[in-house]
Amino acid sequence: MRIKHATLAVLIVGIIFGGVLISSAMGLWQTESSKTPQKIETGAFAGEGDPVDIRGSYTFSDIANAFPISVEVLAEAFSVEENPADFQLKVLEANYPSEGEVEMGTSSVRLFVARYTGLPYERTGEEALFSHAVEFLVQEGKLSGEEAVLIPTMEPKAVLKQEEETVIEEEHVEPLVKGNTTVADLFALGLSEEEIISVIGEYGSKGEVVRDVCNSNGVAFSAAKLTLQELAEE
Amino acid sequence: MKSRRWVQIGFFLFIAAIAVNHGLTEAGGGISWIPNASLHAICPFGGVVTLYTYVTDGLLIKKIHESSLILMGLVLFLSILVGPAFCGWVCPLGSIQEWIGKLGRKLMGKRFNNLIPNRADQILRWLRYLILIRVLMVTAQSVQLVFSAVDPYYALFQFWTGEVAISAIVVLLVVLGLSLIVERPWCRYACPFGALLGITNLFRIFAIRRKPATCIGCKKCNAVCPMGIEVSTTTKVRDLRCITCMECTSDAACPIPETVELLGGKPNEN
Ligand code: SF4
Ligand code: SF4
Repeated sequence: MRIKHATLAVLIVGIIFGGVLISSAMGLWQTESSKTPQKIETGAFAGEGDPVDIRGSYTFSDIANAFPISVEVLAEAFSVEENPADFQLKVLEANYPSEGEVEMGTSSVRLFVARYTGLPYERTGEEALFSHAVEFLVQEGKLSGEEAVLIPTMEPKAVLKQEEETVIEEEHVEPLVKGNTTVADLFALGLSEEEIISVIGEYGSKGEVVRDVCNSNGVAFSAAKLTLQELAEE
Repeated sequence: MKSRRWVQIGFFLFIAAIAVNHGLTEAGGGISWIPNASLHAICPFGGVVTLYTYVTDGLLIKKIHESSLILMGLVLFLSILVGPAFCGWVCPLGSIQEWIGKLGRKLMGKRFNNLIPNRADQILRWLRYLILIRVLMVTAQSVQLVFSAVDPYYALFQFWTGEVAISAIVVLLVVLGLSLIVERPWCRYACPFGALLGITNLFRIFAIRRKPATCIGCKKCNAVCPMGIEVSTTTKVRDLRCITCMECTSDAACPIPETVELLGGKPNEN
C-alpha cells in the first residue's frame, strides 16, 4: 500500500486533531492540572487522598470529589449557606481573622475531612472548628472525647462574604518536598540553612532524607513539608 | 506549494497563537475562540519526561499536564505508522530551521550543508541520544522539568514573557544561526524527542522505499534530504534520522514515477 504526499498530510492532521477531539470528548484532555490531592504514600491508607494536601483553592465540590465526604456535610460543618459546592476554602480565612496561632481556614477543613473520613492527619494545633462541627464529629463517633476538648472552637458568623479577589484561581502546584527529598534538595530549592533547621531541626549531613530527620527530631513530616514548600515558593 | 509546507505553516501559526493567547489570558485579556493552554501542556516531549514518574506514582511533573501525555501517545502512534512525521510536518522548531535553511541555501550556495565533515557528522548524530538519556535520567531523579532550561522549543514561543531561561534563548539563537549553514541542526544533533521518535524508523509500518529497477542513479533524492540521508543506495530507508518529509519521493525530488515511495506491507522489490 502506498501513501501519497497529500494523503500523508490528511493523515497527520487527522490523527493529531482527531485524537485531541476524541480524548476531549472522553474527558481526558486536560491542559490545566486537576485539583486532586496527592495520594498517601505508605501505610494502611496508601493510595487514598492525603487530607494534608487540601489547598485553599479547592472548593467543597473538589473535596467531595476527592474524599468520601459530601458537600452538604462540609456546608453544615463550616456554616456555608449560599452555593456551597463552589465555596473556596480560602474564603474562610478571609472571613475569620486568626486568633493568635489559631485559625478557621484551610487547615480546619483538612482536620475536619480527616476526622470525618478516618484518614490520618496530625493536628498542628492551629486548626479551629466550629463547636457544632466538633459536636457532630463526636456524635458520629468519629472524634474521641479526649481529642474534642483539645480542638479550639469558634462560632460561625451569620453570612460569609465571598469577596471577589479571594476567588482568584491558584495554580495547583505539585509538591516540591516529598518522601525521598534530601536536605541537599532543600538547598537546591533555594532554602537557607537557618530556614531548614527552623523547620526540621538539626541534621547530620546534607545527604540525609528530610523525612528521617523529621522523625528523629520528633517533627511531623506532613506539616514540615508544607512549610518547606511555602518557603521554597517565596 | 506542497501540502507539507501548508501543514507546517498551519501548525506553526496555530501553536504560536496558542502561546500568545495564553500570555494574554494570564494578563487578563485573551481571545476566546483560540484555545488557551500553557505550552507545557501541548509539548509532546513533556509527555516523555513525565512518563517515568506517571507510571511509578501517578504524579505529573510540575508544569506538565495530562494533555501532553495524550499528545505523546498520538505522536508515537503516528510514528509507528509512518515514522517521525511529527518532525517533518508538525514541529514548529523543525519548520523554522527549515525556513531559515532555505535562506542559508541561497546565501551559501554549494557550501550549505557541506561545512561539517562527514566523520564529525557520523559521530555527532549520536549526540541527541546522549541528550535523551541524560534528560530522562535527570528529570526522573529530580521530578523537575530540567529540560526547559535549554529547550529552544519553549524559548521560541515564550521569549517575550521573561519566563524563559536565558540559556534556552541562547540555545535557540545558536540553533537558528546554525540553520544558515546546515539544515535542521537541532534535529540532526541535539533534539532528544527527535532521537526518541527516530527509533521508530527501525520498525515503522510505512517506510520510504526505493525501487532499484527504475532508479536512474541521479542522486536527486540525496540532495534534497534535510537530514543528509543517502537514499540512492538503499532500498528501504531505516536511517534513524529520517523524518518522513517525503522530499525524496517521486511526488517531489525523484524524477521517475513510482521509484521512491512511502510504502507499507510487503515491499515489491524486484
Ligand atoms: S532521485 Fe530517484 S532516480 Fe534519482 S537517485 Fe534518487 S531514487 Fe534514483
Ligand atoms: S528526504 Fe526522504 S529519507 Fe530524507 S528525511 Fe525526508 S523522507 Fe526521510
